[in-house]
Amino acid sequence: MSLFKKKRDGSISVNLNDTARSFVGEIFSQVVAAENDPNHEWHLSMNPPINRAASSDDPLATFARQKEMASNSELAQMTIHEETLSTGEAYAWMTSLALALRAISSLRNIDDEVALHNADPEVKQYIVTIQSLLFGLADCL
Amino acid sequence: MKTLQRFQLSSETDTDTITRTVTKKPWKVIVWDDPVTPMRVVEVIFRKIFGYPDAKCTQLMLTVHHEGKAVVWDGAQERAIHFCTQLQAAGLVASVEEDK
Repeated sequence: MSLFKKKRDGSISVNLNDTARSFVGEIFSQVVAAENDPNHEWHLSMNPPINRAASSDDPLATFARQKEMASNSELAQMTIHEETLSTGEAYAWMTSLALALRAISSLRNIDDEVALHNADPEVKQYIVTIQSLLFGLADCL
Repeated sequence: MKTLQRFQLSSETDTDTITRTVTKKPWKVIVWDDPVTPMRVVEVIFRKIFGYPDAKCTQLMLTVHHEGKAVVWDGAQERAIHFCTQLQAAGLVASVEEDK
């Protein structure tokens, strides 16, 4: 059975067991925490520069990004126990998982295929698990 | 990108108006390759944010993957920043750059 399945009415059914749901829920909690806490280890990687040539970012743009991230990750967190998601909710799940994936890879300096191949097996397994969830969600969107 | 600007001339009658075309340099939104985000996810994000057709999303995703980056949109600075923040909030590595 696939992890996520698009139904005829356009909604997406979630076929995750308790362990998988708990794993995903923990990721969503980490993303929400990282957005709010500048000392969280994921915080920096989730707030990259918008214009790499500028000495500082436009604060309004930074605020807009944080607002967008917060609304997605909080929506994902609120719907963690749902059996069926709307496409908007599924998109929020997908983007929150993608943010977590980027934060983990950035933190572990996984910036190319070689680094990914040579990563710690536990980290690699974590990445592969998130990727399989992302594949499942993307196929429904 | 071209914008029209109107200039009011002060004259005795104060009725002359000149319309002149000003060319501004566009801003580019760039998406950079990363080794962990699945390609299918990148396509979905492009479709959701820009509303591009599937074929264009696939072509842009492949450009990112093979060339390390792709210009996914260009135009006014404000919109470029808006799109960039949406891409970053969706988990992609994105930035804006002024076209030189």
